[in-house]
Amino acid sequence: MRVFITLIVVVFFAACMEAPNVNMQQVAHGQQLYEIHCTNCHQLDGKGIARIVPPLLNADYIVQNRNLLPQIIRNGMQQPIVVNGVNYHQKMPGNNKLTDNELTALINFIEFRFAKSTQLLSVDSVKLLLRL
Amino acid sequence: MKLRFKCLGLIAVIALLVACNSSTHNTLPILGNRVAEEKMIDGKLVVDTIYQTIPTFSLLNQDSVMVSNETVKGKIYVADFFFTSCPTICPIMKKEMIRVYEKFKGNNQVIILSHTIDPDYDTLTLLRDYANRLGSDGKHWMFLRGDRKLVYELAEKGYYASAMVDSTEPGGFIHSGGFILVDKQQRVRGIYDGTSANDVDKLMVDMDILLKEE
Repeated sequence: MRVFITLIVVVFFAACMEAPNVNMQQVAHGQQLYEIHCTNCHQLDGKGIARIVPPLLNADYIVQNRNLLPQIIRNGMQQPIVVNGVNYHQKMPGNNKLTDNELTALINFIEFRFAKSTQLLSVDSVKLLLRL
Repeated sequence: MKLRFKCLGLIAVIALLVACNSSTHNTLPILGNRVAEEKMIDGKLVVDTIYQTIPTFSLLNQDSVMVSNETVKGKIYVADFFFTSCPTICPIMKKEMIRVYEKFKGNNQVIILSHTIDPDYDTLTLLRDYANRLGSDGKHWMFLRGDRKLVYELAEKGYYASAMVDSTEPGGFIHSGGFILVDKQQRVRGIYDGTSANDVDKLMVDMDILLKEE
């Protein structure tokens, strides 16, 4: 009986973790890019630095501004923002060397890891958002 | 009785070993040039070693208070060079410096001096906000601003750090990410990589050692 219950729990968790529309290979690629380009400021755990660099982890700004992420990462950010009730005004440098594919992978990693989202973007939608 | 002697002997040996160990590991080297100065004292020739010290400086901090050699006299301090708009190594340096600050902020014998190498952009108002955002009380961790040329010279000649303008670098400046540990007599006693958590751990151990020095 106990084995049976354990089995049900395991199956349940496995189903939750692997959302059908998440391309884990792409997310892993995004993680590599994140570690190269973003961790200096936003940190490996996505918590940012004091009140200098805003967090990505559980950041309301990401949830509310999903469509802006491609532009922000590519072109950087100059204006002050409020994240989880704290204001930040440190400029963020953009990275225009990332390809559209890389940008998509990076955003999907951030969404998946830090915003716990499984509604990830396609390359086409990233291209579209960059043109807005 | 015999056993007691044996125990005592063992304790003596251990004590000796610990003492030897501490004498080799618990002193920090004195970095920089040194010159031997010969003096006549009471008709005898005495050779004195003069160590290199931090050159004279006086810079304004984030609260527009003048900070000089006099401010850090008799204290140990950690110096670094940065600029607030730095997109590369500074954020991680500041994260590491927060750890140093948090550990020693209750100790009046310890000061941190962060020098901006971009005084044009980093105004005192901006530095004040930056200090505040990092959680500094403005006294134990100060942010210094001064003439660019003077600060660069101080970095190179005083702290063995490099700082220069380089338009090809991200952010426009090139600088070393070192944390420089200075003793109560303003001699450099260690240089640590401010982007490495391991190195900064070592810095904090060395600061405790230095605090025990007379």
